[in-house]
Amino acid sequence: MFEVPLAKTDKNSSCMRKVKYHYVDVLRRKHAEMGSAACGNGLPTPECSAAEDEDNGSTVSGDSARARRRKRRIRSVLGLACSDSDYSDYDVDEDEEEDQNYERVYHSMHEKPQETFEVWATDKRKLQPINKNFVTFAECHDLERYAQRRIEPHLARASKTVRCSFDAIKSGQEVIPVRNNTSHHMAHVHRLNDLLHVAVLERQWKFAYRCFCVLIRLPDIDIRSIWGLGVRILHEMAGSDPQIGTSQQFLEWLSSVYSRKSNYNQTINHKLDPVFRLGSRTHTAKFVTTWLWEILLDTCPNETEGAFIGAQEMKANERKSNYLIEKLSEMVLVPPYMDDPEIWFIYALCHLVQADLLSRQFLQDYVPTNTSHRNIASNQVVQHITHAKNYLSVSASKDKNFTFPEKAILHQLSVFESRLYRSDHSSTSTNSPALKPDAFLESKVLDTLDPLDADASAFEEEQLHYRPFETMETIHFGQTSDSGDTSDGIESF
Amino acid sequence: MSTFFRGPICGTDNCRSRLWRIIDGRRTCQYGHVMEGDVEFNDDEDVSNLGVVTRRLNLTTNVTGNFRSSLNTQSQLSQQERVSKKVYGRAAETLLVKSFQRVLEKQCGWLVGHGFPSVFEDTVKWLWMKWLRGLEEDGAERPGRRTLGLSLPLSIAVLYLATVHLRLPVYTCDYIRWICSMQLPYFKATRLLPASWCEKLPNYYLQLLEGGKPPSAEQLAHKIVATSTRLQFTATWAPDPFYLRMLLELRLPPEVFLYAGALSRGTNGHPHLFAVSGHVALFPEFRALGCLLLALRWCVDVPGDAPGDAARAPRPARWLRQWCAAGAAAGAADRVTRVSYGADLGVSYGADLGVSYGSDRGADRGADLAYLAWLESTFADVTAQSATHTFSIDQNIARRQLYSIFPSRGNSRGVRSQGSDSLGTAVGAGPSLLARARLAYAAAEAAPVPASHPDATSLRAEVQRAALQRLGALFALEPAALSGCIDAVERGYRRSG
Repeated sequence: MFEVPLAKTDKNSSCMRKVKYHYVDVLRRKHAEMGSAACGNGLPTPECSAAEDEDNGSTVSGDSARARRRKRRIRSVLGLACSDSDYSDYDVDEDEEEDQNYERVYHSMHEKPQETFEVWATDKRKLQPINKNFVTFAECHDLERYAQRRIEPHLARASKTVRCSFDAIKSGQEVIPVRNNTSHHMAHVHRLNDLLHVAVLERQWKFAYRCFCVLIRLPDIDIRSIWGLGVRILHEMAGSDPQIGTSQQFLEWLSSVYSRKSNYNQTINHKLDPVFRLGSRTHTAKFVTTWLWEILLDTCPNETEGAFIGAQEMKANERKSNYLIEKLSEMVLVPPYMDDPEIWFIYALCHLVQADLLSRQFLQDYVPTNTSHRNIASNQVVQHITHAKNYLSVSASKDKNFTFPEKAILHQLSVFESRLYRSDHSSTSTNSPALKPDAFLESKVLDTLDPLDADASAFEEEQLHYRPFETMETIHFGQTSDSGDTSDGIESF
Repeated sequence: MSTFFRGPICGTDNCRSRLWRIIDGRRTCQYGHVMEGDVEFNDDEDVSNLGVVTRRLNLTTNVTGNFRSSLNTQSQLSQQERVSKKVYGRAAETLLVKSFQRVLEKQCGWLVGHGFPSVFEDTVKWLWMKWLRGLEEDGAERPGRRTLGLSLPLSIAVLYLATVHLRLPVYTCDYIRWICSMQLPYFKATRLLPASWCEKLPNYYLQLLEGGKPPSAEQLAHKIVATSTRLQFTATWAPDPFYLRMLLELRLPPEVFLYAGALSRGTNGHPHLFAVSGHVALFPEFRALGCLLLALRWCVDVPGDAPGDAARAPRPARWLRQWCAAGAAAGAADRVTRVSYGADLGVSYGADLGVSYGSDRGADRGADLAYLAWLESTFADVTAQSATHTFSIDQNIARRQLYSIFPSRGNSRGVRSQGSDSLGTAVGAGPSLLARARLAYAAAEAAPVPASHPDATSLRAEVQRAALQRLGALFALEPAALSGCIDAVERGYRRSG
């Protein structure tokens, strides 16, 4: 019922795929050559038909016929036997492109599912005419016969199953996939997988946990296909049994065990679930980002409104935050992460959190009154704020499509910085959180900050576009901007 | 001099540094300790003026924190794989026979450990010797074309013939149940063999000992008939204990036992021999099943005082009406067997097999829990045993870390003993079978008669349907095959007059 997290390798199915895409390729090419197709380099889809309409196919047939004639002439001049049939010409073509991967060719012409994922083109201006070109029945028949003849030598080597199912698919039938769970072992694996998914659907977490435990202990199970379930189950089981690990441990395990150094062939493998399943040299694994978000969330102080945190908790948070910063500073040096805007964004937020933690000391009078110590402490804060800004700009430069409420974050940073100078102005109300930040912004020119047009309407407009910050209506003083909101981001993975 | 990079803990004089750098080609830690036996050298002999080209190994740390180069491990792995110890031809055949013998021995050991008499082992040995002798004679007759014909169903056939010889009340349904619940060594039998044998056996023989699909009763019947023909096995099979067993197992009215006994005596033309039966329906057990089903059909027609009144209907009919109404009690063993046959019998079981949603889930929960307990205790253990030796040390450490994040209580003894108790049938649990049957009969007596008054025809159809379903589940037979058994018995009865 549910997809089983197994890596399947089947000789028949791979052979079938090869033959199928070869057939499609031959058909397409012949179709293009016959001149009846408007598309030069793609199957007639609405997407490419409009673009191709401009260089109309009327000349194509003439060109190709001329080229064919010329070719035959050259061959006769060279003394090669000249046959009347057209097929001999194509056989020459065929030899040149024998070891081509037709599946890759096919998929490179089509949009990939992960790119069209929930993108709705509703703009009326982008409407394109539907491809109305059609072939006559006789032409279609010829095409098919030709393609069949070309595919024949490949089929001769294939097994009977492949030949039968190929014939069926060619004539428009559908082949029911052979059920792979006939053996005793597979039957139970399938059943266990079903039980796991149903238990998760019904929120029977204890049951789901037991299923998951058994499933990951079986051989040949790819845990990367079900890590999302595992994280959720561990979240739910947290606190029920001290022996069970936390989701952070699990995510750390995943990040350390599954290498980012594999190559990933995007053109073929997009039918699997790569985006959530694994990472590669060019693609950050989802479990890595989930892990980082979880640690970051953990470092944020629980209090959002008030500015008071115990010294103990602050120390613990600082330690975690330092650990994360250290981790990230190593990560951003290597390929998949150094080009990922999300990683840089997390890095920036880390510094933001750290700046928040350190600047709170000024609010709560933990800072020694000694001026030099005070200067060191404030310098630290300023340094973190500068880092945060730098990394935000790096993040923005990595990918144009990656958006975040930059103004809100910058405003928040300025609030943190204003804490440093607060006691100079209003030493009477050190503990009151109800302080007006704008007063400082106006009265004091901060070290790191350009004068900011911090009007509320700009924030709100940004918040409309950026979901994680949606819930934050107004920015309160002393609130860490990503405490409640990033959980939404994680949950939506 | 180069920049620092991370590596294993230095450890010299309790040095805690993990950072290393290269000074004069020596790996030196943060505090100046030099790593022993590690020198980086430039192996380009002619360093030209155009620029120094150096090579650096792609160093990473493995799970234990030591250095390893990706290049190095790859070459090691490929070297390991290149050495193959497989044997082929005559040597492989001999090894296969030896392995098969080992599996048979383990199976005997399990059966004797679970209540079979100790003489059972000798009987199996005697049969196996006969089989081997047949193999030798075969080889002498046709030296070029000799096939071993060894398969795991053959081992079950040998065991079955031994039980018939000793007149033990154990039937194919018991063997199927033990196999599917992975108690009797059958699936992944390679785990019982020494590792050196597994390395030597060719892959197609290893696959032979994997088990694959569970055998259906029909397949077993074929195998048993073929084996008994080959061994010239002449012991006859007694149907009466079988009827009694089925009676208690399915809680049928006692009249069925009498009718079925009379029926099989009526078709006395064929004694219950194995070697002579040609058609599957003539297999003694299936013939007895046919008799049983026919007797059930007759039970409905026992004349009563007032046919219309449900309360005063004849006892067997009343009983059967209750029997149809009560659902089949599905234990963990039933569920395991059904799931094992999910691919074959899925159609006939319908909704019972699929995982159900929604409100009717509550009743299913208990069975699911029992099934999960079985998976945790038996299934995971057996599959883990058969697959551990293929991991490298790094993978093993990673695996152990994962398991410590997800601790499982499947390995506790309590679960297993409970599981085997509920799965135990027949031999080991003789008294418990009786006790259970007694309880069930008492419950059947106490249960109210369903209010509806079906006439004889519809009752007969319903009884037939329920019986086919329950017996089909027990013997892993399709309903069509069971109907075939009835037809065969009817035909034989008519012919004998």
